[in-house]
Amino acid sequence: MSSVLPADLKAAAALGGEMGQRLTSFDWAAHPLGDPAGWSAAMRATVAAALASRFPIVLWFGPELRLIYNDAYIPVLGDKHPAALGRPGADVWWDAWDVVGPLMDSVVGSGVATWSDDLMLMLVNDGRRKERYFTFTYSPILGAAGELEGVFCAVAETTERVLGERRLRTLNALAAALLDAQSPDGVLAASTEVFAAHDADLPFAAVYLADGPLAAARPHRATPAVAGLLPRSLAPLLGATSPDGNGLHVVAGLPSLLPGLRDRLGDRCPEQALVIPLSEPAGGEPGKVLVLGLNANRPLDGQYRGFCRLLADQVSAGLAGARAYEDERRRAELLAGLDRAKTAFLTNVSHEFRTPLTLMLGPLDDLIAAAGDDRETRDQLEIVRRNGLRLLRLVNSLLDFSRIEAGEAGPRPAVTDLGGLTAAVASSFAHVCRLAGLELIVDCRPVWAEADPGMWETIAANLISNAVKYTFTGSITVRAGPAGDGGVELTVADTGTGIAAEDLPHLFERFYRASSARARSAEGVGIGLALVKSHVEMHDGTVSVDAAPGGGTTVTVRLPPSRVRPPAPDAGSGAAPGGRPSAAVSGAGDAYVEEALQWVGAQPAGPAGPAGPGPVTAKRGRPLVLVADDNADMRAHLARVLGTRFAVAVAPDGQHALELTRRYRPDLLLADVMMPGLDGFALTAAVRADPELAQMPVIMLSARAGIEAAGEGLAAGADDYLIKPFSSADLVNRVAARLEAAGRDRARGLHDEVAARRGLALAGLGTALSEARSIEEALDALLAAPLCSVGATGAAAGLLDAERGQLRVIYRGQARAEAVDRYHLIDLDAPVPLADVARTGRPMAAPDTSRLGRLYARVTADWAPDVRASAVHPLRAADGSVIGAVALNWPQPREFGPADVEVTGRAAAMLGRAVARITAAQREHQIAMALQERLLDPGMGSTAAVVAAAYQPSAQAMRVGGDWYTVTPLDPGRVGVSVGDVAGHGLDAAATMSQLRSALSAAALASGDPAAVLGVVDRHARGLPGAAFATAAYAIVDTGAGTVEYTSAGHPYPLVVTADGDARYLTGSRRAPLAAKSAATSAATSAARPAAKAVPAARSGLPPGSLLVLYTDGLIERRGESLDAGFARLAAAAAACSRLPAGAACAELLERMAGPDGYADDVAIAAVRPVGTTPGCHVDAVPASFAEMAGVRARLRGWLAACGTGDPAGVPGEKADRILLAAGEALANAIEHGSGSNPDRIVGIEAFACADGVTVTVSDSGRWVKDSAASRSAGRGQGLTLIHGLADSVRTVRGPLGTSVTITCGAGGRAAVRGRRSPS
Amino acid sequence: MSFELSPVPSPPGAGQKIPVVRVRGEIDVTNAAGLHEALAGMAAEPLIVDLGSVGYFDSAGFAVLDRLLAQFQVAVVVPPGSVARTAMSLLNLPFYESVDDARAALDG
Repeated sequence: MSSVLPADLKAAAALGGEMGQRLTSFDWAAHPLGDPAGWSAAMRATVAAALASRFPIVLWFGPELRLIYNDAYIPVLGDKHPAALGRPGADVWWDAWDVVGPLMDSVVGSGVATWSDDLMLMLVNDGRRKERYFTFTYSPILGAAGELEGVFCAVAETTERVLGERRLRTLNALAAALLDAQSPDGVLAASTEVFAAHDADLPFAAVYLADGPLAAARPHRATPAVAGLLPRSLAPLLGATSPDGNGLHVVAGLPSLLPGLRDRLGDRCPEQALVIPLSEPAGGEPGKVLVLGLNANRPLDGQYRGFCRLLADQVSAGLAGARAYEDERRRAELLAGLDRAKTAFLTNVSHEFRTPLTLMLGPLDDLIAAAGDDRETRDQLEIVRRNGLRLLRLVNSLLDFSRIEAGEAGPRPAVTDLGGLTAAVASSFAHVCRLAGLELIVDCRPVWAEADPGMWETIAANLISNAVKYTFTGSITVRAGPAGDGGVELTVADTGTGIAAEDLPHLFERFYRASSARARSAEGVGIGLALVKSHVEMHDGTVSVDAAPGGGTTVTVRLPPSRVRPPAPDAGSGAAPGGRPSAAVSGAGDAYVEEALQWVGAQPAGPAGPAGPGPVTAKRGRPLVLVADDNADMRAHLARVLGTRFAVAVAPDGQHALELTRRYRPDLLLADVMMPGLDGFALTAAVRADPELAQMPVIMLSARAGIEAAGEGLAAGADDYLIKPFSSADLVNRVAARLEAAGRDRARGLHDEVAARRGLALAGLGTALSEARSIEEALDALLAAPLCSVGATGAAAGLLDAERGQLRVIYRGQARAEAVDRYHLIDLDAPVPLADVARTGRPMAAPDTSRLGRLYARVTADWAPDVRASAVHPLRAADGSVIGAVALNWPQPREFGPADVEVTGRAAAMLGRAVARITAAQREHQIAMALQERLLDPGMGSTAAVVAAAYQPSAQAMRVGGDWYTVTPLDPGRVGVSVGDVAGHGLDAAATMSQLRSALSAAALASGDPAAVLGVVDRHARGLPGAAFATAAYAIVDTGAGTVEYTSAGHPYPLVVTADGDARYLTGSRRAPLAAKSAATSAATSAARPAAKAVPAARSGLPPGSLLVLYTDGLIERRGESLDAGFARLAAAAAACSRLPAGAACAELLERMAGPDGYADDVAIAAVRPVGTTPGCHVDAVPASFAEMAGVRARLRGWLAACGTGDPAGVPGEKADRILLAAGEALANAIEHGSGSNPDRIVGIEAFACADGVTVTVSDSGRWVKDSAASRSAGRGQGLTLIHGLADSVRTVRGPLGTSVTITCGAGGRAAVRGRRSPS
Repeated sequence: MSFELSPVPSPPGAGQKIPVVRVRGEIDVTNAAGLHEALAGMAAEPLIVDLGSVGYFDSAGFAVLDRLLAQFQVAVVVPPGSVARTAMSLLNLPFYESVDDARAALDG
């Protein structure tokens, strides 16, 4: 027979839901605890409080600790409920009593409360053990006389969080381990090691290799847990299983499949395993298959599956990376081999060249001598001789170099006076310097050293010749002599053009040629300085360059002391008295001198030849050809050859050529590619850019051979390209052909030009894509290159989410907001071209979307008129796998020519690689954000206020931070909100943060006094190692009273912004940071100041419509700025946000407060707007249930009728109906898609009115996972049509913490909607 | 949430008339199924549905109309100025200005 409850319990039971009823109908009379009427006052009060609470609470009474619990505790019990009521604790919790029994005994014995954090309990439910985690406290229930009456336990299940953190640790460890792995096998070894070390979720793991079918795969690696137990093929494991949609096989009944497994793993022996193929066999490498044993005490739910999938993805990515690394290494080895071959080739070729050259130069000298007074013959022979010598020098340099490269040409040292040798080399430049108008200062003192005189000569001649090349006025100073340390020092200083900083580090690299400096000539192959360096280094010396652009250059060579004494004058070393080596100068320096002579434009003998600068011939009626070349001999040669057929003008460099072109309008320009200043490319580009000259034929000349160079020339706009050497006849014919066909060429040239420009544009796109940091930026880059996107006005990138079988689509350019909302998620099997292409990997072009046929009728209609033609290409990662698709869209039908298809295809290929790179880079960020979101998920919302929060990781490092916030609904109309900050970053900080957060949530439920809540958290923090100096602010918003009560523990002031834009800080009730040592010490040492002297909470008004903002210090701190300045900035920024919905206010504050480089620390921010109504503002918050919609509408309707839009009658009826329907549709979507119709989630409504009209924002805390697109039939899909059709503008913001839809209806009227009225 | 269906009496003197039913109240996802059930029960014969008096009618209601129009011989009346008017036009559903227009069309 049930007992009659006393009045106090009866009232509580009425509030207590199911347990209230059970308690009422329980047969207490027959129970050891007896009739409730006989229970003590303390017991009755505790039971009543527990029943009325929404927090899970269990009470234990009597010597056998019999259970009484509330509704919220039922999920903890699982199938032990309802039998558990009134039963002894040891019976109910038999499966955990070994752990909780002793805790209970200690409370009963000592009366001291316990606190257990994330304690693991293996609880049996449905006959299975399940690993679960709880944070709970046991505290004594004391009777009137202080005797123990029972035990009170508030408990929160933390399983999800603990598992989430544990799995993230595994993922992070794997990511870290894979960073160092350099081969596929290394990846597998490292992965297996990580799996073995993180075996809580992976009792065992193994890798199989598959050359053919999956079932035939053979074991490769395994964690020690299963070593020796694995079957020799996957066949027995796979058995009759078939893969799920993601290719995962779930294998059940493991203990019988792997005999011995249970003996080895005992309780932890998995029942199930996942078989996940990682890669197909490719390139002779077997496919990899991951076999993961699953924790038998956890169900294989979506989270567990997702975790395994993430592990597999990481290993896959690691394998791909390792393969790329191996390829790179192989390529590097190949290149080294090529380099060796090239060196050998150069050596051979140089040898072959040197002999004939030497044989030619001897007779040439004789011929010059014999020419006597025949000046013309002599001049021509001099040209031959100079160039012959130059060729010899080049060949010698190459030969020297290739010898050095091959490690052959060591120095042949002799005791030499390097000072004297230098002076001799320098003096041979005296003539050329005089001609060039340069002063040559030689200051050489004798210095004896053991060195190769030939090499020293090369060093000195090279440096001086370079100085001549780059100096136009001033002087060249050559100094050589003993250095301070007894070694040798040679400096060659000039007053020339200097060297740009960016060229300095490369100056001594082989074949490097400074591009920036103005020089007398652009000739040379760029090995001179490299040769100097290697020669100097062979003498254990150093070369350094001191230069600035325009400030001259000083090159210093230092050789170490070489322990030689100068030979006695009679030693027969060949040294003349005075230290000057009589026979040291070999004549090799002559070649450098001869070459320098060409640059200064002077001829060693005779007057200027026919090739002086300026127009030379202008015979009437003949086409004029302008020759631009910096080599005087080449100019003269070209002028002579072309002069037979054409009028010729010459210019010594690009700048002169451009001036002459503008002045004389030649019929054809013949330009050398390599010229100082304006080179051939730049000259051609300048000509092409000038509309008056653009049609002029241009032929380029270059010694740089190869298709690449020719392509470069043509791309720059040249009509033809001649590679040196060429025959005179060939040159004349090419020029003639160009001139004759000039007219015809112009028409055809257009086509070439378009192709060339496209090529250039693609190259430009590649650069832009490589700099893009987000998909949005990549799409913008594509649209900004109309030659690549063929003038498309919109682009959409769909990224494959294989797990969900969806594309997540990002739109840029022209796209209607409604269509974007409708198609932001597309099912892979939806009849949408983007999905088709992502699924099949085959591109698709729709020249006219209206002809796509019935299958695509819906998507065509939804996107008209923005999209009337579309080209869709797959997006592929570097390994060729399809990662999505990109669509380029045009608002008019258009034909796609083969060139269009080709160029968009190439652009899509580049975009694919960029997207793959961006996604990979975002991965770590996503993991960090995912963890933070999991840690911060408010979980509970409140109907007392609209609460929004945002979290921003620091800009410097993507890592888990220590900032938190909580939202705790108290009794109806009140909500507690906290924001806090644990010092430091990383998982430790996150774990501490999470514990403080739990403590705060629990304390918030237990007490309605903010000061007391932070007091509890402070005491809890003292027991946590990482919690010292954590800060927190906690505020309770009371909607009914229009107040906020708050306390801050070392935390920046909470901020209130009224609807009018007044921002004020809540500066009261401040206490020391949590677990601050100073506070503890002073409390302990000073008896006069008892610890109880706590700071009481402060209270402040929070009128309807105002916004309470809590934040962490990262928001206001900026380097080099006082905190006060930060507070002032925040107040100003917040004032501007006073009429923004809470979510938008958080986002806007984050945006406005960010420094130029983002945030240095992570930032958490929470904004609370209490439910209430004023003429300007209406705030509502309801559980996500359709049943709430009518109430929301009624309240909104009432406000609209009276709101302050300037019209005393509020919003007129027709417009109010439109707003109500649009808001109603948004609300239905928020409930269904944003919250999964889960009434534990809250949907917020914030409406503002002003003279300009009304905005209504509906926000939810979920992430829409359902496809809102065309794949859904009529039904609710029409909601979006209505929202967009009824509102003047719609703005949808999707964030990790929820989605908000803001609709705006302006003050004015609007155009009537034309409908399909039935004919009357 | 509740809605109400009331028959509209035929004007006096008329002979065999097509029945007219007037919908009152608010229609949303919570009661749209009920509306469909009720109207489908009456629509075995030609039927005129008058939406001129609804206080709220959202996409769930329009989906019901869409089905009814496809299944049965039904005419929908949405007089000028009524709540469902703009949305009806946006969704491109056929409607009549008045009961008389609808009746003339169905009779014809």
